[in-house]
Amino acid sequence: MELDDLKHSWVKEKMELEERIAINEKFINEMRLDKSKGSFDKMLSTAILGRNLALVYMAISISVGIEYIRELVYSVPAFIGAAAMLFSFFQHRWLKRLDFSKMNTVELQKALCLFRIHTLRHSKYDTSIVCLWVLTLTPILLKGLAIWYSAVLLVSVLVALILYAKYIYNKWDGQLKEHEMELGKIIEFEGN
Amino acid sequence: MDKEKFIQVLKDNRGILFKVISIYCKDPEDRKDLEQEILIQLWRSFGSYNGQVKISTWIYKISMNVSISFYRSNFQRKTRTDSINESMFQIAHVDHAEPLDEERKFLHDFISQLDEFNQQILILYMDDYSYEEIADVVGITESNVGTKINRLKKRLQGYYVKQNTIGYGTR
Repeated sequence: MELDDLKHSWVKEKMELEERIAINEKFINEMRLDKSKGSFDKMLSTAILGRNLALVYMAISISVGIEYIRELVYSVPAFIGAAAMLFSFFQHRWLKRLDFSKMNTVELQKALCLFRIHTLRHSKYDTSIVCLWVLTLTPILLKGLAIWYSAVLLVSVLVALILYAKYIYNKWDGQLKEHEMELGKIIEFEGN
Repeated sequence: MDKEKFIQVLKDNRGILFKVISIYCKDPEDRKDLEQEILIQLWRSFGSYNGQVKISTWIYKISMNVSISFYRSNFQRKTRTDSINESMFQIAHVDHAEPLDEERKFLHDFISQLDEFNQQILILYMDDYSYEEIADVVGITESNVGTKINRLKKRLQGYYVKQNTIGYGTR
């Protein structure tokens, strides 16, 4: 049996399909296509939003730092937090929307894999940077509170963050390995 | 953008869309999600379609890109933006549907056991796309396309022999 021998079956099936199938125009007309977002678009938009929010957090830290410029115990941590957020923004600066019509399949699949790998690899740093940012603003947030109360609050938040980080890092490590393997398969397909 | 023109393009290429979706997605509920994803991406790109490639190639490129991404993704797919639980296709009911002939069944079975990239190459090859066109859609070299098609041909022969050995068509 040769592949080319099956072409007539393929063509015949396609013609029969076209006779039996119609497009559901009512459904498509009712779809709010202009407002719809595909799931891949949402995934990338969320990542891009997160990246851009880093600039917002940086701006907050800078304003706090400037507000308390004479009180180094508040301003120095605030500026450190701003620097950390700026670093986070630059880590993700390459993120951009994918065009399904312009990219070929291998290009697109590699981009999706690399996006997932990048997100997972940086998730640990991103979580740490958020924790650091919260910590750098903690002195100003707890200003005026009793020391013992501040200490209890700070320790509780830190313990919760550490426990969450431990759980989520294990999950991410597993996913990261899967995506790295997938990328390997795509590169193998491309080259061979 | 002109929705009527868009719908006309879908009508003219409904066979391509149906085939790609059927091959890459067997679950009926997931299929509706995939249809919606493809419609959204086609609509998005419709305004920028400039006629440099055949419309059927453009449809194949986008629908296959979405289907393969959908097939490979791990994230939750229950994120439909529309609450309409309908398909983009209307299929005419056939009273006395003939069973799929052996050749077609064999081909479907062969395609279903390929990986998603080889499925893509096979679909385009069976639709008489040139190696150059296939290379452009898939993103590999022309000579690589030739190599893979030769491998698929050999694999088909091997699959045929295997199925005949275990009594294919006598079930």
